[in-house]
Amino acid sequence: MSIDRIDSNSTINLMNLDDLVTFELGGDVGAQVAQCLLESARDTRDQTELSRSAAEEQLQRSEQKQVQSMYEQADHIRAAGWIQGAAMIGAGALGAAGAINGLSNTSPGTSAAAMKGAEYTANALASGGKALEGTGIMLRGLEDAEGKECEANASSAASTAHHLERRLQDLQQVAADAREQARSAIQSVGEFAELKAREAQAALFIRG
Amino acid sequence: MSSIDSVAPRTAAQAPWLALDSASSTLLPEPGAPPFIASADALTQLLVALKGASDQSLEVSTQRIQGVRSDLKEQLDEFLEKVREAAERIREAKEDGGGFFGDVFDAIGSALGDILGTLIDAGVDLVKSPVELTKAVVTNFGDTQAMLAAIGNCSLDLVRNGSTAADVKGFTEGVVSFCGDLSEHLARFSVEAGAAMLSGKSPLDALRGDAQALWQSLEHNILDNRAFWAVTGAIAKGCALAAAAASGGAFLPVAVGLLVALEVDKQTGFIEKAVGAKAAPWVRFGLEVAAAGCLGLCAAGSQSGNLVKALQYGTSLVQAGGSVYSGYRIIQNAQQNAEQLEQQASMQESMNRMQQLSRLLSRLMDSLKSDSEDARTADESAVSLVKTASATEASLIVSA
Repeated sequence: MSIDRIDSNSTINLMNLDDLVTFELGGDVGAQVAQCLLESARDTRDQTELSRSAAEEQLQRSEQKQVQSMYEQADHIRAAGWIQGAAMIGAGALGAAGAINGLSNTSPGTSAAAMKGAEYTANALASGGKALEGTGIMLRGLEDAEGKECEANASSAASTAHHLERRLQDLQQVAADAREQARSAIQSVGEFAELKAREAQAALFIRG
Repeated sequence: MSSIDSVAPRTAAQAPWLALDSASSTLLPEPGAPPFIASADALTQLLVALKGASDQSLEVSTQRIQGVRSDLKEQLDEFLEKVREAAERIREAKEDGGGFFGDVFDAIGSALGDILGTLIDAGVDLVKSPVELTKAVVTNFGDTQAMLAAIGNCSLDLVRNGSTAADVKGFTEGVVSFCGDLSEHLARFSVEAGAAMLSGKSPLDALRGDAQALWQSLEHNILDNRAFWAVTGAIAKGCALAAAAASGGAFLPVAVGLLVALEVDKQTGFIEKAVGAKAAPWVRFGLEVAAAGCLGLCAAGSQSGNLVKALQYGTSLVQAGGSVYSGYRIIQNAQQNAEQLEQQASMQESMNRMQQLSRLLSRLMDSLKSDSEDARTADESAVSLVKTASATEASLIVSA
């Protein structure tokens, strides 16, 4: 059935019903009106369904993004911990090596030159450890920053998801209204047909 | 399925065509055949088509609802399984007292115990409050003997100083407690190991049961004892300053200045106020490295006694051990945090999936309810039309 649409909201043009009645439903005006109203309701419902499907897809994407961001954040947290932890362990190992070397050169028989060398070595290793620790802190900061970005992305995705959930609820109401409109149309047309029949019956009785 | 049953038309009240009288029923179709299909009435055909679509939609919706309910149940089971896993992990984390360090404790425990024993023997009067210490050094700058004497005098004030006294108390309690535990375990080990050797078993088997308890004691009394590390740091700085002062090195004034700045910052937080919260850690880090470098250069040329140097190296070794332990804890914590977040993400994923299925189910239920109402409306209209048609026929007959 061809339906003329007069605007972007797919409103049925009920002003051109005569042509349609003649060609498609054998002149039954009630059936024609019912069909047109049903078409209108169906168009509304179809559009709502499309919007709901689109919103649902978008919602699922947002939820996936939220979960993905959480996993990425976990990766960054792990990497940050490993970087700083490894740097601190390295620094500790260097410090311990220097201290053990120094302790081994503190016995009474050790020469002054050996003790001096051990001290320089211990200090050099301790300074290297500090530098390693600082590098670890710096690199951890970078990982932490990326982790925070992921956290922000997850929050943003969650916010979008909530917004889309509300949108879906609104669309659900629109779809319900469209169905109600279709039922009302059927009922009205049925009543109209009944009224017409009673008029015909009355006319027959009068004629009889 | 009770909700579905309640929605589908089953009674005469819900499906009025079931209650038609015999006269009207002649107009109804044969069972199994599409109703009113032979009728030429356009409106009737429309209603028939509408009813057919509603019935079909009802059936499809019912089947899909069953499928979705099954999926939803699976997802719920999966979600509950994840919750159970999460609870299990939390319980395991609470019970975990050993781990990697617990396993290697046998190797490092005795060495660490010796070092701590040395520290205890040296006595708490060698422990210096960093602030008092640096003040003493600055006040007596230029006079090495007076400087060392002032450093020694600081020990008497140490125990009367609020926070420092608390640190020393915590340090002493932790070390004594751990040494007691260590002695007890070593004594027990020697007895049990002897018995094991006599019976031909490995003496290491006797240590297995005690290793975890000893590790927990080490964690509680030493590794996680803030006071222990505060005092150890003070010892290290005191030793470094003493060595540097004894050397009379050219970098000593710079080192002392840097240490004073760091200690004053600890009390007042002036670095953060001056350079801001973001830059403050870096400035402190730089000052510490510079101070350590200066002290190292000074101390390297010193002729301080072997005891001071041994103590200095000993504290450095303990601090290095602490650094390794901190690194391990950082990795462990990061691992735990990451796993928790992954668990949360996994649960969120399950919840999202359940919500998707729940939305689909809700949508299908709405559709089912609506289809049912559509079918009822179409039926009512059809009955009304049939009655009207019958009445019109009767009128025709009467008039004829």
